[in-house]
Amino acid sequence: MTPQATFEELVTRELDVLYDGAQLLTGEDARAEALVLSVVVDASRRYERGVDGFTFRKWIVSQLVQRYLDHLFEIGELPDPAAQSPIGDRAESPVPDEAQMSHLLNNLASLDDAAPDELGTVVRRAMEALPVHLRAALWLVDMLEFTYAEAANTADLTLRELQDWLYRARRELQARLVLSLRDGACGRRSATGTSEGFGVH
Amino acid sequence: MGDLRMECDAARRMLWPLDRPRVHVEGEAAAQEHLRVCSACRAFFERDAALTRVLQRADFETKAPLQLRERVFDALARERALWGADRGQGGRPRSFALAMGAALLVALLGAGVAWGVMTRDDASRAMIAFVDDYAGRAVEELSVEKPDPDSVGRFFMRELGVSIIPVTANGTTINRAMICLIQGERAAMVEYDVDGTTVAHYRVPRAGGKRVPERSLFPADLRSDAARGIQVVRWTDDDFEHALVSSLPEADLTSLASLRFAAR
Repeated sequence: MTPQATFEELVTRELDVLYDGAQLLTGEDARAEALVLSVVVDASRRYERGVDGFTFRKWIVSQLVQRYLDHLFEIGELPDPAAQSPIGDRAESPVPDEAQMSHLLNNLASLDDAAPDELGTVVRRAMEALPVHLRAALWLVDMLEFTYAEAANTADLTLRELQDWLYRARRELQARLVLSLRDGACGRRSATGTSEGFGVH
Repeated sequence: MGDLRMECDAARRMLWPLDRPRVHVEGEAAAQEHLRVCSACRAFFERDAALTRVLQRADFETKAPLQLRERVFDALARERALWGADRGQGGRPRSFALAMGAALLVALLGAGVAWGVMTRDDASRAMIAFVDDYAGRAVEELSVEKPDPDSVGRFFMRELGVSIIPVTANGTTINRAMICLIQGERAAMVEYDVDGTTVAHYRVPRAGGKRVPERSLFPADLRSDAARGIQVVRWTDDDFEHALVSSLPEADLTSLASLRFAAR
């Protein structure tokens, strides 16, 4: 099989993942498609035999994330990680109080019983509300199982900076999930308007 | 005695992620001591562990639209043309015999077009549209290099984003596989040799309900039409709209469709 044919076969397998990530990062179908298209075409020029199926996903996903973060940096919409204090900076959205957090813990426990696609809907909406760089960090590490070193290299961060992004992403996500569940936005609503999904009462 | 003077946020940042390797920072021992006596911080890490489980189980992968798949592979085809066929290593060569075979089938089905102009019922129009599109595209569209079942499966997955397993019954061999256009939709065609007779099997993907044709191309049950000796048997299932085209007699083709193709 020629390198080009191998590349096309590997891209076929990863197209859903690429589109999913592009949509998560850009938040728009049209921009997601344009991002995927440009990344795949560029990658086809750089592809060489030897990037096997196992590493191909990380290889091409890295290019997609790099491309988008570079774009954000160029237009001034990416926070400069060097300018952030790694410890003790302010949360990017109000963190729910302890009572709400306990409520979340209970709801997360009930989410454990939900179907993966129901969970997906809840988590996706919460992730979409995060700043884009935090979304990218979560997607790489928690969804695609990049190591910290791989994710840091992809986002051009130090390990500590990457860890800081992830910490803030997790804390933000907890908060967003609390807000979503509290508002019933992610649960199924009954005819009386009360939320009946995911253990919210 | 634990250290409650340390701020919770500082302690959490130092210790996160609690159960995975992390970058060591100054003051971590104090943070560990803080965690030992701070129930709020312990609750935070419990929530974080729950969140990890949720993230691992959540399934929200969005499927790439068929349109994007087509655009990607069109763009890659242009790249190939620009840079030379597979950097001088092959590409998708089409043999003379393959092209001739396509041309012959086009000519054969062209007879069906002429017949179709004279009949105006819906079924006939559907068949004629199908034949017409095929006739216009058959020679030009992509075809698979090696028509073994695995290569054909990979070819259609790459080009259409759907899983298509060719028929591999006794007495049935694959002549070729290609992409054609049916009423503007990309479709899969596998041409077989069935006991010495050429049979073409078309599948128009329904794309998991994403593609909802205004009017179904083919009737839901097994039906047949004929045009100047060309028999067309059509049916639908959840994934595809199918057509089997051959010069076999109607009864034989219908039987073939039921026994070997309809269950695929």
